[in-house]
Amino acid sequence: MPNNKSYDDELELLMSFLAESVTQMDDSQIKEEYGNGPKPRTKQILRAELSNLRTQKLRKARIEYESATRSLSSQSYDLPPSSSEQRAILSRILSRQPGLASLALTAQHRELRDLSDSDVESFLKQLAALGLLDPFLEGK
Amino acid sequence: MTDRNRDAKNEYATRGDIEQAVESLSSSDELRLEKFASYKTRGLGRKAVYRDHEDLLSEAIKSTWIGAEDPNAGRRWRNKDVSFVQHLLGAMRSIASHWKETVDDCEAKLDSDLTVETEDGEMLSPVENAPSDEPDQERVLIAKEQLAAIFRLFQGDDDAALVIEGIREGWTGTEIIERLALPKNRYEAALRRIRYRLK
Repeated sequence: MPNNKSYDDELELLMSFLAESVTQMDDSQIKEEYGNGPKPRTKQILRAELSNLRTQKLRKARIEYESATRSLSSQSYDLPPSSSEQRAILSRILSRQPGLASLALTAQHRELRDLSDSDVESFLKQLAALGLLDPFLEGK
Repeated sequence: MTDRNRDAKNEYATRGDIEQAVESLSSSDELRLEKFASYKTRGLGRKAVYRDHEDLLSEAIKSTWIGAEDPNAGRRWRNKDVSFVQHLLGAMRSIASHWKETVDDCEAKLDSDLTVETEDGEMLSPVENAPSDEPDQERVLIAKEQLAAIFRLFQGDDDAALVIEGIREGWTGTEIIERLALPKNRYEAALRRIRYRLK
């Protein structure tokens, strides 16, 4: 009588043998033996995993972005309350530091007027978090 | 990029090649991969730790996808030499083996951590001496019951029962045929019946 461990091993041995025997079967044998069963979901499973992997980076970036946004929102900044004043400060910053425009204005927002009020506020908060806003606020 | 680097890069599939290969799988390939994964995970029993054949397939493609960009983190597909199906079969063998080793290592570590020396200098292992309701014992009991159920399935089928005995001995197909003096056609027919009943 086999000892306790070998029941596990025997089951594995038997099932592995059957698994390997499947790899030796040609297409017609496979269809004959398994063709009448449920339609295989292999492609569907592989596609789903690939889709999951493709979007993984995007999801990670989104989580990081949302976390950074939450962090910015939770801090208080000395920004002017009105959106027109905020927009004026941003305009002033971009005229003095044109290099920052590439950070603030994506390909979708080539013009400052295309930015929403919340985008303007968010960008000013990012500059404030980096300590770059104070010189511009002093002259507000 | 040097010629050597370019050659080395061309030996392995890109992520685009992998996506294309998935779409090109024939229905027979799908069945072959699914059945292989299914038998492998059934063989692991509870060592699969609630993972099934779909998880094994997913892990194999995940490892291949990652390996296309990072060979240290995944498994690269040498698509000029190995078919996609053969590659996935190899990946599943390796992953299933890794799953099993992980459980075995955990049990060995648990056993070693919990083993104590008695006053008489005897090493006492709580895992080895665990009562039958401990997880390891439970798993063994399930494997034992599954094996018993399989033997019962083939009680009236002498050839199939013989083939199963040969497999339990760890023999190859050729060895089963030779050692049991079983004609090849009867061996193959018996193996088909075993696969059919256990699919």
